[in-house]
This record gives sequence, C-alpha cells and structure tokens, in this order.
Amino acid sequence: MTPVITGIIGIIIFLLLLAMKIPIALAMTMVGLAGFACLVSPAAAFHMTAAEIYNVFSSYSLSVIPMFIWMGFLAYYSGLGSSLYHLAYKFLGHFPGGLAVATQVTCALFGAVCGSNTATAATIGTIALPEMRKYRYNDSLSTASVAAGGALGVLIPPSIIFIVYGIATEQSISRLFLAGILPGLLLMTLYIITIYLLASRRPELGPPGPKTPWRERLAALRSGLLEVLIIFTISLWGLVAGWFTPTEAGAVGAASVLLVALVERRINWERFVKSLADTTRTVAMIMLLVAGATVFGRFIAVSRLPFALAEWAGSLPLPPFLILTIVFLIYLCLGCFIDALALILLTVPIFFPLVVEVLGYDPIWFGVIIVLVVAMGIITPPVGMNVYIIKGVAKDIPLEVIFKGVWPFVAALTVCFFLLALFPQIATFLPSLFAAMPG
Amino acid sequence: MERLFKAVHKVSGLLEKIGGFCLAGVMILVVVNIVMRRFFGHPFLGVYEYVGFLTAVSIGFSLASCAVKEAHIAVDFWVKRLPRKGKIALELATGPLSFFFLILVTRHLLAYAGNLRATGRVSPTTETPFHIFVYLVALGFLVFALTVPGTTIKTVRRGSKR
Repeated sequence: MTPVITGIIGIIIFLLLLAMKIPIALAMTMVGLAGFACLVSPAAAFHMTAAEIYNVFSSYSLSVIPMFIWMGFLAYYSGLGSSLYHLAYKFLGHFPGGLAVATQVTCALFGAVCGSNTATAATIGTIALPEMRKYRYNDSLSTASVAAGGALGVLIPPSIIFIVYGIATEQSISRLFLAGILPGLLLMTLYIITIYLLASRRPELGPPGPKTPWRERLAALRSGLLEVLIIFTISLWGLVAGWFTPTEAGAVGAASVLLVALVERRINWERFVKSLADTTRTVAMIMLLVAGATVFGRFIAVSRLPFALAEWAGSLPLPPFLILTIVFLIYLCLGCFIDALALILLTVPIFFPLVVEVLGYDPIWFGVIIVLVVAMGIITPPVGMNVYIIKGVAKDIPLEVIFKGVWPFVAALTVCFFLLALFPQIATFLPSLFAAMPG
Repeated sequence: MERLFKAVHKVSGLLEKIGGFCLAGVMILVVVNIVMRRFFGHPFLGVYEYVGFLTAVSIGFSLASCAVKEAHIAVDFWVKRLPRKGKIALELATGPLSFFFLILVTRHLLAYAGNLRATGRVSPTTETPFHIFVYLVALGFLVFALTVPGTTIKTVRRGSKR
C-alpha cells in the first residue's frame, strides 16, 4: 500500500470515528498515531504522540490562546457585554428592527475583547433575547440575529481561529488580526442592511422600541464603551507595533479587563473563579484539538497526501479561481458538520500548500476568507454551533425557527464572501499599511 | 463504583481549580515581565519557560473537568438519528475505546517523562527539569481517562431508562 493510499484510508477512518461521536480531538490523535505507526514504526509513533502532546500544551506561542479566552470570559463575568448592549440599545432601539441592529453592534464591540464566536453569541444572547422578546420581536429574527452576530467574533480581533490559523501556517498573528477588522465591519454593515430590509418590508418582525432622551444616551457612553476601546487599543496596538508578543498582548488584554472590572467593582471573587473555570475548560478543549491536529498532521505529512493533492490539482486544466472555488465548496460542506476550529486545524495542512504555494494566493487573504466560510458553518444546519448555543439560551424556541431565520444572514455572509473575493484589498489593506512593523 | 466516579469528579474539580490558578499565574508573570522590561530594563529570566510549564499544567489538569462537563467537541448529528438500542451499543463500543486509548497515551507520556528524566533534560535558562511537568500532564490524562467509564455508564443508564 502506498503512503498516499494509507493517508486516504486514515481520513476515511477518521470520518467514521467522527460519525461514532468520538470527540474530534481523540479521533484525530487515534488516527494520527495509528497512521504514523503504519508508515514509520509503532515506537516512533508513540514517542511522537507523547512529545507532540506535551510540546503543544507547553508551547509559548500557543499560550496566547488561554490569555485571549480569559479576556473574553472576564468581560462576560464583569458585565461589560451587558453595558455595551444597553449603550447600543439606547442609540438604535427606536428604529424598526433597531434591537437586532443594536445586537450586531454589540457583537462587534464585544468581539473586540472576546476571541470566541460561541462566547460572543452566548453573552449577547442572554442579554439581547429577553429585550427583543419584551418588544415582541419575531422569534426567528431575534434568535438568528444573535447567532449570526456571534460569527462577528471570529473576524474581529482578537480571534482564536485566526491565532490557530496563524500558528498552523506560520503567518503573523498581528497581520491576521489587522486583516480581520475591515471584513468584520463590512459583515456587521451587511447584517444591519439585512435587518433593515427585513424590518422595512415586514415591520411586525421588529417593532421599534421607545426613544431614549439624548441625555441618557450620552450618559450610557460612559459605561463600557470607553473601557472596551482602551483595552482593544492597548492590546492590539501593542501587538501591531511590536511592543508585545501575541501572548503578552493577550495577558495585557486580560489584565486590563480585570483591572477595569476591579476598579468599577464589576467582579467579585466568585465570578473571578468562574471566569477561570470556564477558561480552563475551553482551553483544554481547544488545546486537545490542537494536539490531536498536530499528531494527525504529522501522519498526513508522512503520507505525502498534501503534496499529491497539490500536484494533482496543479495539473488540472482548470483556472486557479475554479480550483479555489472547489476548495471553498469543500469547506462549506464540511463546515456544516464539523466545528469551525477543528475544521481549520484539520484542513489547513492539506489545502494551504495547494492554495498558497501552488495557486499563489495571498496567505493572509486566504485565512480571512476561509474564516468567513467556516463562519457560515457556524450558523447553518445541521451542526450550526451558534444556533445550538442560542437554543440553550432560548430553550422554548424550536431549532427550526432559529434555522429558518438564519438564511437572510447567510445571504449577507455570501455577499461579504464575494466582495472579499472580488476586492481582496478589503482584507489585505490594513496588513499592508502596517507591513513595515514587526509581527 | 458510584463512589469511585464521585471521587474522580471531585479530583477533576480540584485539578481544574489548580489549573485555573496556574493560568492566572501566567498572566501575572507575563504582565510583571513587561513592566520590568519596559520600565526598569530588567526582564525576568525564564518567563518564556515558566509560561510554558504553567500553561502545560493548566491544560493537563483541566482535561478531566472538560470531559465531565462533556465539553470536548464531538459530532452527534448521525448518532442522534440512531434508535435507542443503537445509541447504547455505540456508547458501549466507543466508551471503552476512548478509555483504553487515553490509558495508552498516559502510559506513553509517563515513558516520555521517564526518558527525559533519565537523560537529565532541563530548560536552557532556569535549568528546570522538564520531566516534572510531563508527569503532571500524564496525571491529567489519567484522570481524564478515569472520567470516561462514568460518562459511558451514565449515558447507557439514561438510554435504558428512556
């Protein structure tokens, strides 16, 4: 049996294990270990697995992940998300569909201190859904707007998916963060236009709330917005300017949120411990995935499957953009079934050499666009992670109702995708602006 | 048996707390190092190494608690469509498979730690022995493995009652 055939069989067995509900991280480690044992030797495979697991867990460059995750959980437990929502609500709540629009703005602002789409959706969902229900918003629109808004958290830095992509492909994390800003703002604008169009055509979907006096609006500016902007600026600017490593930027971000929470008495000991517990659990889940993907990646590398795929695709009589479209369609299909982070970890070692080295596309642009594609998977059936999270918050609303509401937002994501494909500068402009800076 | 599972849950909760404080330690260490470096011109030597050690312990110690809360990502799209008996049979197959695999990983992490100890491998700056932290990660994996039978039995019981 050739190594390439072994690689293909390994992927099939991995998919079977996934279908049997074995945790993705374990399935990747099992297949990676077994495949490496077949192609090299059992002793080498066991040593490689143990060494890779410890190396991933103790990696300084990966320690950025826990820091940014803790930053997000501290923001959640200190009530920063709630303050941001009330601010957006006071400015936008009186427009048709205004609460759903306020939800998008809050998701974007919260995404600036939280790197996880699920944490963004859960945080904003618990705050926004009761308000939208109070003003008799349509269940589909209210739940779907929060689920889709959560996806803004993966584009607007800090983003855990960008960090993992950056480490897996050896790209600068600061440039990826910069590249996500404009597409994130573009997607937020497209979401807002979608809500406006829906609420204009059918006002019963999102009736306007009462108008807030300007004095109250200006007062609301003082609670939360300034803090978020300062934390975001210190953390991201320090990273882009080369003052901090990514881990240091994350630690400074988490320390800043903690400091704000302590000074404003937003957090107590119990909430602090809860933020740590939620962080360690999330980090354990992510890092086991990274370790599993590393072991799996070692097996895929010795099978020479990515090289065979790159050679085969390079010899196809098709223009590069068509091959790229096929790659995106594969991501779109897999994204419907596999978690976004796991999908990136699993597929990047296979597709990155093809798209960047053979087809010659920009690696930063490719990172942004596949994050956008997997963001679609976060809200589309059957495995839309954010939809399940919103279902957990709004237990009485059936899943079908939420999924029914996400389609206009999927359309907005598709428009964003085509705009990014047609105008790659939307993603590459900011990184090129700061190109001279170390990252 | 129930007592054993309860003990495993307690241990996983305790390890998670230790892991959490290790993480807080990482943040403090990194921030203090930035302050020392930028304002006093004296960075802490070995921060890079201690961040790695503390992060490894934090992750290793949180694996079990993550499993107890069923937070490790799995795809249940197809399993949900199986009849009740099919789900139980699958759980009885995958539970032991995961358990033995995790025990195998634990065993080889211990072997790896023993190897590092025998060869006297230490970190370059602080000369801290690596093997201590590999043993701690192996402990995390052992407790992680021990959570699996409890989860399997719970799922099977839940399925049988329905």
